[in-house]
Amino acid sequence: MTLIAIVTFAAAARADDAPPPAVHYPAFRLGAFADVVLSHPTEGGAVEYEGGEIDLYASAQITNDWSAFAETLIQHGGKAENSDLETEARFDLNLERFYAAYNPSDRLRLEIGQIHTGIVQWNEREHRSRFLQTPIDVPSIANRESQGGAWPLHFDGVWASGRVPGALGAAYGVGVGAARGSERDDIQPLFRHGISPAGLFLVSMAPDAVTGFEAGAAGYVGRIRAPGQTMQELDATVYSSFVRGGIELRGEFARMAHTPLGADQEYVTRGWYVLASWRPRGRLKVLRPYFLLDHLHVAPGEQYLSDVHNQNAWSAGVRWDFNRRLALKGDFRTQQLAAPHRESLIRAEVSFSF
Amino acid sequence: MAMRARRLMVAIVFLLAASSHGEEPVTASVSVLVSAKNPMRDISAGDLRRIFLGDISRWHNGHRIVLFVRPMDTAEGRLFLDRLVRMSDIDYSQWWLGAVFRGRVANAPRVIGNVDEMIRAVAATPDGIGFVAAPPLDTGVIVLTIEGKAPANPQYALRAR
Repeated sequence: MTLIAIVTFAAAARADDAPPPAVHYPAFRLGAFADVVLSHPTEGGAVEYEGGEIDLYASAQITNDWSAFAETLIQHGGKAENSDLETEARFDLNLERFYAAYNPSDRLRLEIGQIHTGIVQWNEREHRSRFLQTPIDVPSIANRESQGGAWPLHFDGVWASGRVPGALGAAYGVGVGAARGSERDDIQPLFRHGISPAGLFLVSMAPDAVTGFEAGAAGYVGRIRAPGQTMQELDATVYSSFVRGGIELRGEFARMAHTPLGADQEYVTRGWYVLASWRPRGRLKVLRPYFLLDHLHVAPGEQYLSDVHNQNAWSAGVRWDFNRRLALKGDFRTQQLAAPHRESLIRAEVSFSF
Repeated sequence: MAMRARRLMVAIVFLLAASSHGEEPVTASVSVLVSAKNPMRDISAGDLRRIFLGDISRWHNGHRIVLFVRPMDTAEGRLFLDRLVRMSDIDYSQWWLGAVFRGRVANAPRVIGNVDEMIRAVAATPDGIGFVAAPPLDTGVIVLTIEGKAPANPQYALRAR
């Protein structure tokens, strides 16, 4: 699949040289995001390279109604303790999204292929780009499966979504396809083992009466064929955001329940985050101070999530949009990740869009 | 460690407090234009915002909407940001970068640097929509009313206050 994505990128690169006409098909676009994070423990020690990512994506508007999209993510983990990657996996290359879309109207859009589930709204909105998000960190509930994330963020199947006309700004999404496999961090569509059917839905509203406000809920049901047992998975998420005039407030709560078939036991994992940021006006508009609270409580004793860690962190920092393609971020973060003790870090991120 | 954290928080508070006044728009209103071939004559402020954020991408006839915008450092660009999309030029640029990245739209709005060129572009594009500071006269474009109000109306949504 990665090869197919690269071929798609190559085709897009050839066609992207010319400026796109207003209405002409096919129209191609190739883009990328990249970032590097450095961290320095406040208890001493050297500045360490925490990790870096390159996110490549290509879209092709083939006709008025048909389009295709591909995205692949290359990650490199550093030495820092809170690196997103497991220590034994320094490089990580994954196909993130790869789908064809049929979009005859705003009321209906069908996507077929590997998509992001939308069970976590942060993942649905930001996908994998750290350039677009305000803070350095991805909240724990939106971590990728290979980053120690617990929620099923990738999904292979059919996803139908659309807007309902009207002042309520209602939108929906519903999908059926393949649930995650027997290994939690195995997301590649053609090589997963033990997959089974899954369904998900999403509803949201963004009423005209409160410009910038949005709220929604999502649900996911599936089965996990984990080694030694099959579990029913039932996830629910609610979120809300208010983004207007430089103010950005976002919050999300997610609950994931795993129930082994034929057993009374239920493993419940919960997580939430709150993000507040503000972009001043005038000369300081290039800055966006932010504050992020991040919490994750993993169900004790659940083997399927054995390498997912509790998290209880907050960070405060500033994003500086140096220009439209380059953002610098710096923050102070205190967290409890793999280690039993809390640690505090001062970090810097350089992120690009090109 | 506590001292460093305190210094960081003081710096953040200083930045927040040092925010200067915004760049106030200097034009009275923004006129939203469509081609004279477009049957649309009136639109709600909510739908207009959704159009310029890419959430509404089609006209009623199913044709894709073609977006034209003025540079965001012009008077009408600032008023458009301030009264309609309600975000800064940086956030608007990133919004569209995100919209393309989410796979929802093929392209960001085309930026038209010249007013006459904007009017010509909208007039020549039946599915186009754009905006200028002053309503043009008989140039093959129609100025939309917003919730029944023309740009001269004091209650017009895209009017400086």
